[in-house]
Amino acid sequence: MKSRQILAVPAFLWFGLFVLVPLLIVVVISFSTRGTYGGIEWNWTLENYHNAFSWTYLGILFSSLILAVFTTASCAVLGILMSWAMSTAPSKNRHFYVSAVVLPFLTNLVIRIYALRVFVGYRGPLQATLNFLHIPFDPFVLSQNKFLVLYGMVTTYLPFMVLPLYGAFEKFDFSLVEAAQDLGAGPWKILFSVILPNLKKALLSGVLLVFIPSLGEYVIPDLLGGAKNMLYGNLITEQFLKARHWPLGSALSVLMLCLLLGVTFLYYRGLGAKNVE
Amino acid sequence: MLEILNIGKSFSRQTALKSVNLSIAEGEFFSLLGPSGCGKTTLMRIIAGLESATEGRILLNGERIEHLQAAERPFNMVFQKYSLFPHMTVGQNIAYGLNLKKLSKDEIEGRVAEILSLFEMSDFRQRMPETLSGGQAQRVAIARALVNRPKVLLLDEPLSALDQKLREHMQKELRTLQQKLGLTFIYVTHDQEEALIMSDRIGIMNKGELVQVSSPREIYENPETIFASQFLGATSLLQGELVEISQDLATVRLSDGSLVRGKFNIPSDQIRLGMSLDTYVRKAMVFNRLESQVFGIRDK
Repeated sequence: MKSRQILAVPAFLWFGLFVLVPLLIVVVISFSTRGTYGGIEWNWTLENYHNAFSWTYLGILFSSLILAVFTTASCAVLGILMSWAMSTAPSKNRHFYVSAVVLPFLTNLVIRIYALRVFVGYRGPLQATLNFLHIPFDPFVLSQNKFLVLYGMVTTYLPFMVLPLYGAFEKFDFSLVEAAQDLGAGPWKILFSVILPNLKKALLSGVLLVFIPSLGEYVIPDLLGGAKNMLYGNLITEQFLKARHWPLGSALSVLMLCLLLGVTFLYYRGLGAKNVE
Repeated sequence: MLEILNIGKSFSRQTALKSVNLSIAEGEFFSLLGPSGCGKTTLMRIIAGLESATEGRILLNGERIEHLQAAERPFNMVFQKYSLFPHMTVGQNIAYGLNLKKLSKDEIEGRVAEILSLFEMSDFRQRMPETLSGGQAQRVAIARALVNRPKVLLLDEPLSALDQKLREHMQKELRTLQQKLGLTFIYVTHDQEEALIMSDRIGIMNKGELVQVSSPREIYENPETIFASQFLGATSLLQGELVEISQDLATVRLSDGSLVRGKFNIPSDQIRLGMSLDTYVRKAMVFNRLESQVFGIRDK
């Protein structure tokens, strides 16, 4: 072993102890049985997986996927526009913009989402204003809906899209745009044939950084979505915390993990195949 | 063929170009020469349509084109840093403009192959730009512009990133190509030697103004301004006293008593013997005798 590789040991230890081992525990639990009072009984069974594949849970998984896809797509469009504007701004302003993007991280996610909930909530500033202007509305629909969930997700995950794209845009040579203009390309043609291909790597890593956590997100839908908007993340949380059905929760977790690993794998393989072309 | 009439460009505070007038003939190799910041690149970008002029007109064969977008003008440009599309092969780079023109596949294929063989780059068709050397990338950049058969090819300091030897080689190659195909080139450079070697005519620019437009020989031998003479070659400034004038030659006595003789550019009504003068001396391009090396005498 080369001396430099020793430096990697802490990382491997950390990964092994705090990621791999807990994951293995989850996998093991997913094959166990729920005790009468919510404990774990070590009777091996596949029943949890049988339940996890029931239509109800698959439906929840499907709506989570839809939400994650919408979140990722919105973040990608907004992120491209934002990072484009940021990277072409005068250089003295760029630091300010980058800090502005990172600024929300200084406040805890739950507090940020709660603030949003208070803002749109019963007797909050939004509803008070609408009342004042005599605009009729349904206070419950207004304070808890799918659009709010999407809004919360997009604002939360946008920085993960903007930062890699900003880095790519900063390195992007804008004379390529002029070259394309000169050769006769219109704005859309330039966007799709010159700009986006050169941002591909950053865009793809941004997409993964947004898609993966937004598929498992449970705080935002819980606070902004209300009882009607159950997502996969909430489902898993409920199994562990409320229903005390750890084996089923574990099975659901393993299922989602496999899905995400599969998506990531296909994603990178598709990428590799394209690069060979 | 191409006429530039009173083209001016001013930003909120400064003026980049002051009413430039220029006429370029078909098949001409025209160089815009000047120090950095003189406005030569701005002028070229206005011709290309990448920037808009704040005043003036551009005529191509008598038709106004200044309102056209870069994409609509029958000109193509070779950029200083080549600006090849890094995600496309050499062949795709060259075909980019032709694809946009919606030509048939056979036509595109034929023209790409033709231009590649012209530049002796046929073996590089599938290569990615990052694997090319500077000279190869340069050829591809020129091929990508020329394949569209532009009425005018605009070149923005295309050789400045190459080393001396390669630069000299490419200078010859470009000039030969231009003459062989009868193309119209507008060439921006800050390298006097390059401009003098390659061009049919040179326009010298300084501080947003076109100060002189002449053939290389004319501009070298009879620079109309001190700026032009200084810019066109290593000059030494000598101070002395005017002692004799005969025809078009002036003799100046320097402080150590030695005499130099050469052309002068002072209006005859301002000239008088005994006046104190700035004398510019420089190594001559064609002549080698000391007498011929003096020129450009200015009233102090």
